[in-house]
Amino acid sequence: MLKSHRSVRFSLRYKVALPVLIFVLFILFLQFRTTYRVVAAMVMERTESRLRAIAEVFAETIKVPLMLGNQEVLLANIEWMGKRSEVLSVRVEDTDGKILGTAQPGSSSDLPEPQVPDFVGAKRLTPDTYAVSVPILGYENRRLGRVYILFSQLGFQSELRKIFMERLVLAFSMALLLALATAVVTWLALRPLIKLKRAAQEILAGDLTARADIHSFDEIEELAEAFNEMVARLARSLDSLRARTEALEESEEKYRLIVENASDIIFMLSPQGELALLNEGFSGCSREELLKGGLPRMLSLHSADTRDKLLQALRQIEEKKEAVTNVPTTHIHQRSLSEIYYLTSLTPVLDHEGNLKQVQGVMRDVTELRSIEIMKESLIRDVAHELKTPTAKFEMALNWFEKVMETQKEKDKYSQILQILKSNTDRLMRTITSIMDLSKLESGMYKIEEQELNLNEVLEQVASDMEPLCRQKKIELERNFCKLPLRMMGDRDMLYRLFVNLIGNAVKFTEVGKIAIKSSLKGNEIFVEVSDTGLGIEKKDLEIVFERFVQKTASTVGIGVGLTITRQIAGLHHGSVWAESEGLGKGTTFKVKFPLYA
Amino acid sequence: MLEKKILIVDDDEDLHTLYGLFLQGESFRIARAYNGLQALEALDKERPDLIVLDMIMPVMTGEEFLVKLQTLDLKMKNTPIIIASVNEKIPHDVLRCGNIRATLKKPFTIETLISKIHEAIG
Repeated sequence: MLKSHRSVRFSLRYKVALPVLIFVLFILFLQFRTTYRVVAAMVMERTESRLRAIAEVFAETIKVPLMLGNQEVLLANIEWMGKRSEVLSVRVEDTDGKILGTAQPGSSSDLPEPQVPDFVGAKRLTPDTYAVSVPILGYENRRLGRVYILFSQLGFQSELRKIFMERLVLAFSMALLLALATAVVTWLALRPLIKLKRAAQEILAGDLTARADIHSFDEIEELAEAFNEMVARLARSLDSLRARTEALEESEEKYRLIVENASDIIFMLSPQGELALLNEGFSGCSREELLKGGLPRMLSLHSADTRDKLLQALRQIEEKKEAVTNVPTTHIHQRSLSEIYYLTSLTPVLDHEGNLKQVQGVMRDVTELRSIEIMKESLIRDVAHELKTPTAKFEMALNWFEKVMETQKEKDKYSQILQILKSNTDRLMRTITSIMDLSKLESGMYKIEEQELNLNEVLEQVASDMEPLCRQKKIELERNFCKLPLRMMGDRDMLYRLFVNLIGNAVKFTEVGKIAIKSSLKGNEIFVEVSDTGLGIEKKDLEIVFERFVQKTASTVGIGVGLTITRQIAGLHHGSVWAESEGLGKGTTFKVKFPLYA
Repeated sequence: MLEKKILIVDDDEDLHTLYGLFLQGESFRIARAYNGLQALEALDKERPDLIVLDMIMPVMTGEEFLVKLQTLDLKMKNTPIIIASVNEKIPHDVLRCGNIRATLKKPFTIETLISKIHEAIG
């Protein structure tokens, strides 16, 4: 929050108005004073000349009586002059300074005499009195004497001063009034700005609903509108931001709970190999340690072979940007040193441009599952093994019995029952073998003994071994082998098993017609086709037949693991096997593909 | 011609019976042992011309027997051996021990057994 400065402040208008006012008043005062002085000087001058004119007229008047020596007329004139309202005293002197006559209507005994005896002109003695002295000139400007008059101009100066003072006061008050009016007008003009300021302060205080309600019909109103709009937008974006933040927090909380409570280990890996997220530690390594150590620490927990597997998966993600799921990885527990098994799934997280941003990983602890799986497998193996030995003895005993029976007379009597015993023992034996093989193959523990071989030789052996079975069902077995040797790396026994299964299967589902075995070489791949004219497979079942314990018909023998084993063996040889059929009744072709060994 | 002596080494009584039946009428003498240890004793006592050896046995397995055989004198060490086991795969290093002439997978037929024996000891 911004703290508000509540210290004393002068409004802008005072700051401008006060000096202006003082300046104006000062100028006004100066003007008035000057004017007063000029006017006063002018009036004085006029007064002097007027008074002088009066004196001159008086001098002219007394000239004749003076020349004639008529004392009576002279005194009468002086008397008359002295009675004039403005005149304080009148004195007439001859050229020698002898007073010829005086008139003093006011108490003018204290009247000051002019300093210079032969003073001629007008002179202001006091603010209210003027002394005027003019010469009396006879014929040919002969000087006869002089007239000395004291005039009173009572009240004139103060009158003038009063008038000026009044005007000055008036002017001052007008100026003050003007200033006041200006202040009011500026206040009116500034009022919207003050409102705006108040609104801004409220918003600063956190009240986003505050608005400046201004109708001044000028730029400030426009400013206020823009301001209000800005605040409204701010409020809106703040609201949406708050809503989004809340939603984000909520979802983050949700995911955090999911991640933290997940039984799987969830992590995020940056392309630089840093662990951005990890819900818990694993394999005896703490979460903090793993977060610090990143991918290298994580890899150090892996057993050597699965470390490579994981790195390969990461490389694959970087190249193809596709998820890699269920990579079996093995860890060595840091404290107990026991093995822990995980199924690790890695998913790339891409940015808008499709670049790898992160790799999200999930590790599922399958140690327990695996031990159950191992238990199951070993149980199956043990049970199968336990069944195998007695069944083998059965078969051997029957073999002996059959041989003995050949020499006996009751041979025909027992041949049927012997056949049932033989075929069922055989079936039991094959089932046991299949289960054992499958369990071994599926456990991944089956080590294939690879050697370089010519697949044609294996096919030849299978064909000749299967020949009697075909002959029995009166089915032709056609061989069409590639002329070139089909070199590949593989386990001879297992490949033999693969093709025995395929051909045995074909024989099983073919009643009339033929079975054809064809091998060929296309580029770097070996192809083998086993086609029959038998039952055929519906399109939807073409893949299902490879699943375990799936049988096409309930009446056929076997437990439906033959094709599953076939696919397992093909997979172990980096090859594949699939079925093709035109549909029911149109025969089936099984195709096998292996890489050529160069 | 002297009758050849065959030492059958198997922990299963039934199989001994079956071997007996299978080799009936053939001119072989049969000696029996029920595990590797007994086989070693019998080897010294009976001096067989051929050993038919099972792999999985108590006390001493066929594999252990083969390893032990290597420590014996030359004549006994070179006694021809036919391995007869339920397991189809026998490790290569086991097959390298001793004078192994053939492997048989149980169940086998009378013909197979007799032909393998003849192949081994003429």
